[in-house]
Amino acid sequence: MVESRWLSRQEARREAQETLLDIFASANRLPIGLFERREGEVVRIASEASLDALEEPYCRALQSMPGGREACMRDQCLRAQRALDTGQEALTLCHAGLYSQALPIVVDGTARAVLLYGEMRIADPAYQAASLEKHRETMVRLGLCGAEAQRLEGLFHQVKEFSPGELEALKATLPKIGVWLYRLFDQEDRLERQVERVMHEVQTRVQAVLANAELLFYELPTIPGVKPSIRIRTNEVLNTTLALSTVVQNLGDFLEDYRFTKRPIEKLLREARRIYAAEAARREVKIFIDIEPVDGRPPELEVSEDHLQYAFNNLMHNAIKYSFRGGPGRERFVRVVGQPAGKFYSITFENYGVGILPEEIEKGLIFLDGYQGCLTRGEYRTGSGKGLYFTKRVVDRHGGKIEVTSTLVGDADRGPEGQPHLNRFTIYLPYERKKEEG
Amino acid sequence: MAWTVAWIEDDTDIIDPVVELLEREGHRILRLRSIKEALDAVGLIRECDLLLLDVILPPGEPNKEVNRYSGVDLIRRLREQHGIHVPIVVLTVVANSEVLEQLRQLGVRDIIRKPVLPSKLKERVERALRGEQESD
Repeated sequence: MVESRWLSRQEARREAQETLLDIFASANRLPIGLFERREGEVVRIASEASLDALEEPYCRALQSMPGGREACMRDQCLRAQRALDTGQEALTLCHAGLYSQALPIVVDGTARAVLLYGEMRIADPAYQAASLEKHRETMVRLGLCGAEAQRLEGLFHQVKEFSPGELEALKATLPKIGVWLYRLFDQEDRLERQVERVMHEVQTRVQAVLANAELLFYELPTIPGVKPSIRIRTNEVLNTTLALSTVVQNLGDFLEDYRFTKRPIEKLLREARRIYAAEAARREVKIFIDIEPVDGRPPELEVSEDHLQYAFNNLMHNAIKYSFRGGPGRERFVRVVGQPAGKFYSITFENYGVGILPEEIEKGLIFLDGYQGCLTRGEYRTGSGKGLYFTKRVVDRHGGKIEVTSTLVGDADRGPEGQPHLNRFTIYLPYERKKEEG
Repeated sequence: MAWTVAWIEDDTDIIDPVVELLEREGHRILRLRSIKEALDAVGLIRECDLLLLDVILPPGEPNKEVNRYSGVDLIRRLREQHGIHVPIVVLTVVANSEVLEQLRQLGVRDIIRKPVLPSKLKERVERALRGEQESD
């Protein structure tokens, strides 16, 4: 089974490159390296694992000598640089007398990277003479003689041999896969830039509306004769814009700039309630917040305030959005309960409404990027599938955990809004972060 | 206590209502809209209590190419070439991890993501002015 975890773009790129190289290395039993130019220097960016696993004992022996590994890496980078500069494939002879094939990955006329694979001898006398000569130069340069030189010469002759024909066959598909890999990366970069530009526009406009709404909200009470309904509407514009801000943030890249300080968490929960109060009122859902003190004082936790606010907003909004509608004779509510739980402080969001299937909880599906719950399908409630995904990341980063339960309650017959469930999302947050949680 | 902030932001829709709120409370805002305006006002920025800026800023000069994250380069120039060491707060939509890392290395005191309530922005600016220590 292949396990998937969240990867940053850089990690995903690196993993794709390493996978490509590992496929090549394991199919051909040859080490391979990928080289790119970064800030004017050529660096090997992947294949450490395949290189280590398949390295020839001859190379390993040379690299174990003082400065040996650095000399080998420098030599590889030099050969890769030549291929990058010319954009031409080449058979290259390393400083210790072994051949490698340098294959540039040329995308739209530009050499983007170089694949260097080999560490081999070539079964052809014309090549072997040059190879042996380099090997002997190396022995002299290192000042090796006697038994040590003999041992290395023995290892040199044990290095795998390839015929020129076998080498040709290896060149067939690898650069093509490389080209497509780079095209995909380029496409992804273009899309990211487009999304970023659109996000910049949207967030800038939302920022302007938000700023004006708050200014208006504070200004109205100072103006004589303003109807109360205008003030209520202004408040609603402000809170709806705040709710929109959370939606907009769900669509964008997630700001991973965590800054931890001791904060009273009740304030954050009340802010989440304020933002979604109008939506809750429309659904006739009441919101109760009950925060138990710690040692007689309001609980304070070491949190990244913006991030936790964002997580609370998402949990509060979900609880309201997926609650069944209230009304005469059917009181509906979202209850938020905070209480000490050993080394943690727990905050539970509880609602009565659309449920979550046991397998969605057990397999953690609800926390996957873009996932939408099975029981919400076909409902009028829609979401981006990002809220819980980001919420879990926030909680994880705080060194906390989330527990979820969803229990079928009351009449099991499907009503107009579906079968009712009691849903509980409990976040456990430590009072203080451990330093290693970085 | 009243303070003076240099704010580099090209979008006046964003600045206007916030500035109105802050100026009403007696604070002073030096409004700058581009890289060029900022570099022309280095002497004034140096006298401010804090610098607030976006990381995506226009050059402010015709036919002048700048990096997408021109604000990062600007901070570097102000710090390294002009010796400006006032506290810096970034207000941006950018969440690119490489950019954030560069900002941290440049000693930016706080990074606030747009959209943000003016009252919240004021709170964060005041926190940065107090030099409140926050752990990353």
